[in-house]
Amino acid sequence: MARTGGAIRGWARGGEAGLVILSAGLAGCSAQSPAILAPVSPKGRAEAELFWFILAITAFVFVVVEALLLYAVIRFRARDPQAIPPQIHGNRALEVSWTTVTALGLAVIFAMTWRTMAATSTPPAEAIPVKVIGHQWWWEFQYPTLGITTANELVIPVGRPIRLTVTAADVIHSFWVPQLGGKMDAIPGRENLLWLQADVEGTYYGQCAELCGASHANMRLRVRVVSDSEFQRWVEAQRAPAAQPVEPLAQKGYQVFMSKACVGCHTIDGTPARGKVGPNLTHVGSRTTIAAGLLENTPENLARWLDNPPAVKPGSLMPRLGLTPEEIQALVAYLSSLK
Amino acid sequence: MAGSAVAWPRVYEERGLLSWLTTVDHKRIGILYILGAGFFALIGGLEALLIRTQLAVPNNRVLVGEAYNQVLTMHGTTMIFLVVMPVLAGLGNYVVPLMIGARDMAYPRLNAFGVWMFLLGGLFLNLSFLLGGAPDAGWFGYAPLTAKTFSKGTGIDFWILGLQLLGISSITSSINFVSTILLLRAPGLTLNRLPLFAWTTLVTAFLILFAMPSISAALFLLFLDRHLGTHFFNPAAGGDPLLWQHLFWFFGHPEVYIMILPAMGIVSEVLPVFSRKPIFGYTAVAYSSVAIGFIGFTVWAHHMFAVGLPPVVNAFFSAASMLVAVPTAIKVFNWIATIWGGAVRYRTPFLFAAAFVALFVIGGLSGLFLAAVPVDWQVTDTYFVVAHFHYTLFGGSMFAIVAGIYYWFPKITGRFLDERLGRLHFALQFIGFNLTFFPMHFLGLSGMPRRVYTYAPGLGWEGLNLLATVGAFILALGFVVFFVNIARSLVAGERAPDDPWDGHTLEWLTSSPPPPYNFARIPVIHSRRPAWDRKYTGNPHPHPVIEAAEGNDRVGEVETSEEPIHLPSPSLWPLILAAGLTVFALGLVTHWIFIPVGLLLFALGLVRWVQQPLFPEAHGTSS
Amino acid sequence: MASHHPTVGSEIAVDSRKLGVWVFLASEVIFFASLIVSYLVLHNRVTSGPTAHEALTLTIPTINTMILLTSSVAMVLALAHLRDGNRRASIAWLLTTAWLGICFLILKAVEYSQHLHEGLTPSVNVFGSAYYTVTGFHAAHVAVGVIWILSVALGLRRRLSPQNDVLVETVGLYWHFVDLVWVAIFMVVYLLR
Repeated sequence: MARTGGAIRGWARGGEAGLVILSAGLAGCSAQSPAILAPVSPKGRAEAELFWFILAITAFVFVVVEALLLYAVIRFRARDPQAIPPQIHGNRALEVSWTTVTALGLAVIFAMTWRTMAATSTPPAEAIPVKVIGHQWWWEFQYPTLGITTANELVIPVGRPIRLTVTAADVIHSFWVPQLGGKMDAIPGRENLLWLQADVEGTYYGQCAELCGASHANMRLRVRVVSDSEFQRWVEAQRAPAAQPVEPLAQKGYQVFMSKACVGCHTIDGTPARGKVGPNLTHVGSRTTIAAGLLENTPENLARWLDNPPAVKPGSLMPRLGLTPEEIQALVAYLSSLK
Repeated sequence: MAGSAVAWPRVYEERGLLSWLTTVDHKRIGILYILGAGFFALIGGLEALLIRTQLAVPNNRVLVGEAYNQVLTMHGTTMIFLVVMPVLAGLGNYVVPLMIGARDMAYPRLNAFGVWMFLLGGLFLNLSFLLGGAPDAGWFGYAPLTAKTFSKGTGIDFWILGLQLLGISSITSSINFVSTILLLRAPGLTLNRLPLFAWTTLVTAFLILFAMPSISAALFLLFLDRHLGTHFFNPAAGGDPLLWQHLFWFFGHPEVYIMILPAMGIVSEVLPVFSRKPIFGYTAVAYSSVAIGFIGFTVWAHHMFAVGLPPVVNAFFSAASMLVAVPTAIKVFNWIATIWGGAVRYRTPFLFAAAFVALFVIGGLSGLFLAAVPVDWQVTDTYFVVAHFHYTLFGGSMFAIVAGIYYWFPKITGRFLDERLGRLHFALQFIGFNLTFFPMHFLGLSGMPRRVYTYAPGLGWEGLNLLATVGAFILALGFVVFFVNIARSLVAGERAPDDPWDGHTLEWLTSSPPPPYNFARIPVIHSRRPAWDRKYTGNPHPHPVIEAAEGNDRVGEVETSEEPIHLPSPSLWPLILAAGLTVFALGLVTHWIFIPVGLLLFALGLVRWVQQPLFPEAHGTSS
Repeated sequence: MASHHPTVGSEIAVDSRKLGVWVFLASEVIFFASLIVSYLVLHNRVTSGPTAHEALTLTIPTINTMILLTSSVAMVLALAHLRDGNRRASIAWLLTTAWLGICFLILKAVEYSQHLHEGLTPSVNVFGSAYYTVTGFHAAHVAVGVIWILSVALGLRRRLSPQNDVLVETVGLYWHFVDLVWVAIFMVVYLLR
């Protein structure tokens, strides 16, 4: 009976090792994870390097300590139930040694931490300024030097530093795009500085990382990293007022939009819609996702959203407007045309 | 020898509800704490299973939005304030006076007040589910999410008042532990001979006394913001959400040491007994607890690395957070060295205690990543943190608590917990725990944030989440086995002698369970291991001497001090006082009529308590 | 159970009730420190409404400081007389202490009503919030102290037991603490405005 206990422990230990491998495999299985350890930015790389450095040290400590523990537990199993082992109370030299080694190891980790902090704290001078404002539950992006206001999709040129001023309009949120570096909290009444730079073109997933209410899980974003020339084209298009609807369904959609409550919350430049409560929709058709990175920007998803926002995003401030299917189809056509 | 020399109120031998409601006996109070914590553990565990069920697959609809946030808030709040803290207070209450050769705690009625405040406070907090919704802003309740504008219902108010009530319980309990441990030790029991579980209980009591007032102040300010229109955390009027965070985490970080230190104390008791050697490096282990306590007050802002504090401030807190790993590592090495060279018996308490060391090391190491600011910027607020604190608080505290229960169950009940069920429980808990929480390190590294009720498919998070959910159910099964073991053993467990484990400390020198007065005669102490020395030192036949109970005099062979036995009278007033405060709180959140009712009960309880003498012979004044 | 006498083996010869009160007061220090720090951080972040400089005058607070300091002297005298065996004098000085405490509270109420009249409320701005909270919690502690002193005085009148001077000592500790907290508040809130 007493023997099985040790067997269970040994088996459990081996199982744990297998678990590590399994988990690593499962995690690595999916290349589309916004993984911290697959950075595409200088800051992200520095943070990942520090992670690997600490992992090397802690993995070594883990192996040594657990091995000592396991060995002690197994090797010193009592054979004779009456035996009393030597009653050792301590060993000054040993205790001083392991304390010193631990302190030294930690000092090394701290030194590397300090180095990484120093190397990543100051943004380069010619960074493009962007203001990030967290709302319940969407992201507002303003490019003050370019005269652009958009939402939920941050478009930046590759290889250029971006200087983000992060704040919030209501509660605390946290702006985080894992592959571009660490996060920064968006706190109302406070402007926090975060700089980032993406060195590889692509679309990167981001998500709010501070509990901010019912739809915290649904407050996502995308960062689209594009070439310089494409960025210029994007800027030009964003600066232009909203496209006039051409085809009849889109025109109908325009009428629906301007006559319903939409104008109270949303802005579409060049139209009477001047609301500031919800995201700016001037070029919503050009975004890859809608509802703050929650859904692919397709007509089906737009329709689903317009029909019943609280069902898609619990607690959504955008209410169910009671639109008829025809009105929804028209709106979808209009909004999709706003490229 | 026994009955005639000892005089205590007969009512101590009574059974029945009233005897429990009026008890001031530290042993019964300890049992009440443990049973209460067990009850709340079922609720908190259910909440955990709900969370894991919802997260098993992406876009699940079992528990969404605010409902999910309520469950996650209550899971955290319950496990911290209604399970881990009370069960450690309960074990401390039961065991520490026995360990130090005292007959009871320094303030018996205050002790009773503490446990009633805990039980009623916990019920009050959970009442929120039925009265408009539980709090849903996380166990840490960041402003301004908790402001009236963003949290309109009464959930947050239940949270504020519930925590205040529980805080009162913790503070009174800590005052008791400090006085008891400093003043009521048996003759010869110097601090240098104090059992390590008593050491950690003492340090923890000081941590509670210096940490809880900070959250209490913060909770008052939040309540005022919500109801009197003040602006402490309202940025539009000059208030500062970060003030909440500083006040909260100044409490919040010592809080985690409050939860781990007594657990470490349990491990420091169990490992030596089952290795049949003394703890390796007693002085270092004792002082490392003090060091952890001190340093623990200087690291709070490591929970705030991403709020935009100046880099030099971040660096300070980073260094301090790494520094605390030194006394922690000292303990780990000392524990391993205790086992080393011993004659190890694989009984269930030992299995859980050894697993504590293995799992806590993982939790401590993952903490180093969090202490390194640039890495923290990536992993904070992700599942990496969830993994870290579950390894330290579950793999750590909870495993040690279970070890303590298997270890002291025979002393408390006079029966053993079943060993085979214990091993099954251990296997399920160890495997289930690791299966649930180890994958979470990788989830965090893959970009999954915390406190989300769902997640998108296609990001690589599905497999690990499912694995964690499976693990959670295995873990739950382990707890089912545990509770079954407890229930069966209470009724039909193998009878345990006074000293079932060949123990080292004083509690093993009295009967299982102990008489109401603990010891017929308080022994004089000459070493750190009075029970061990009595059996082996100077004994020409070094074999374990575990005798069956014979009468009430357990310390007949040892030099004893002469002292008359006084036991305090039972009292209803602590319960009335606690009820008064709870009803008053209820009045603040529900109907105003409860406010005067609560105040009346409070006044009644207080006046009667002060008037009632502590001892039946009207010996001295109230306490 | 030796709760009121030092245990033979204990190295620390303090009555358990006094130790209990000291320990409790230690936690109260942190409580008031939290409130005072909050005040310091927030008091001059006002965007509208009265500022500390505009709203606070020194007359009443200075008188109140004198009152509390005097009351602590009265408390010391109450204990000294009790130790000398003069129970009646002790009761008289306890009542004096309580009466001075009541005067403090009355003046505080007058000060509050002046402020309210001038538009300083807890909700007008963050200075108002912080001011009323830190002084309000202190005043509540004074009120509790007054009730405690009166009940000790009543108890003294009723029975004569050797535990008396510990009772007065413990309420005295609490009262001196409340006095010290006031001095801190006086300096931080009124003198540094």
